[in-house]
Amino acid sequence: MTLRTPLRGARGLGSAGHGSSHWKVQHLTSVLLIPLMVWVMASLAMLDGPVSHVTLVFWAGKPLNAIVLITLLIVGGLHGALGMQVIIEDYVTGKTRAVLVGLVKILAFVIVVAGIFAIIRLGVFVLLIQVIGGGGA
Amino acid sequence: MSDVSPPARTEKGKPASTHRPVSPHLQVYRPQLTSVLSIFHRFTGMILSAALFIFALWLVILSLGPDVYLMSFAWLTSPVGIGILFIISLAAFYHLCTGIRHLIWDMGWALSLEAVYTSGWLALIAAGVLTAGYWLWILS
Repeated sequence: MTLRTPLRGARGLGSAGHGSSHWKVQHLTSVLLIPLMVWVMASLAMLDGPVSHVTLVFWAGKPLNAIVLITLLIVGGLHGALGMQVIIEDYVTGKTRAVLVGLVKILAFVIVVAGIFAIIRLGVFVLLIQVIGGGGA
Repeated sequence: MSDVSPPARTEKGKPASTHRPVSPHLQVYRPQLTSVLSIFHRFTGMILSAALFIFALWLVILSLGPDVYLMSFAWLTSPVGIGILFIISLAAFYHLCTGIRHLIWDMGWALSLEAVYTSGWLALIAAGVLTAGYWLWILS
């Protein structure tokens, strides 16, 4: 006897019930990552001279850069975690698989949150310097 | 074959099929451009995941002030650091080019064997040219 209704099969979502979301998110994030990666790599290449700590703080704290960096962390974190999940699912079986996929997701979440917090902190710092320094910085 | 026997079982009673090697069976294939590019797409994806991790860590350290930053990330401008940055940039451009190739396939385009080889070589050349151009830009 099965408790499944025929609707379950008719919806065509497979046994997990969410067959296509992984694929959709992986592809949406891949398209978004094209301009994000190009922006960040180009913007880093355009930094002048010997790159000091101050230069990098002002680079990451500049509002437009900060917004792009936060977006990159979120989109890249999602894309990376989904990609690593596929690799793990291809080569690891059983309980280890579930544990590794869980660890990857937790790790991705932690580094993305930590990175966003750091960027906001740098942004506020740069804003304060500009307000106090009257644009002299 | 008319003789269909039930799946073989191991001493633990599990179907033997659960002990089969897991796909993709990299070791039984002759390397081809298609498979090698695919493997490197995954491999560079893993490098970039690690790079994103380092990048987030770098941002956190950056926000902790110049002393902590110089203590933990001074190696970034050493030859080893530049080497690592070069590998990350090469992985980024490679994954970008082969990733765009995947997106084109998903539109249903360029799927003939001939087109797959052409786009493969194009992606490889583009990744090399972009990486070389990027570092010439940085060093100029």
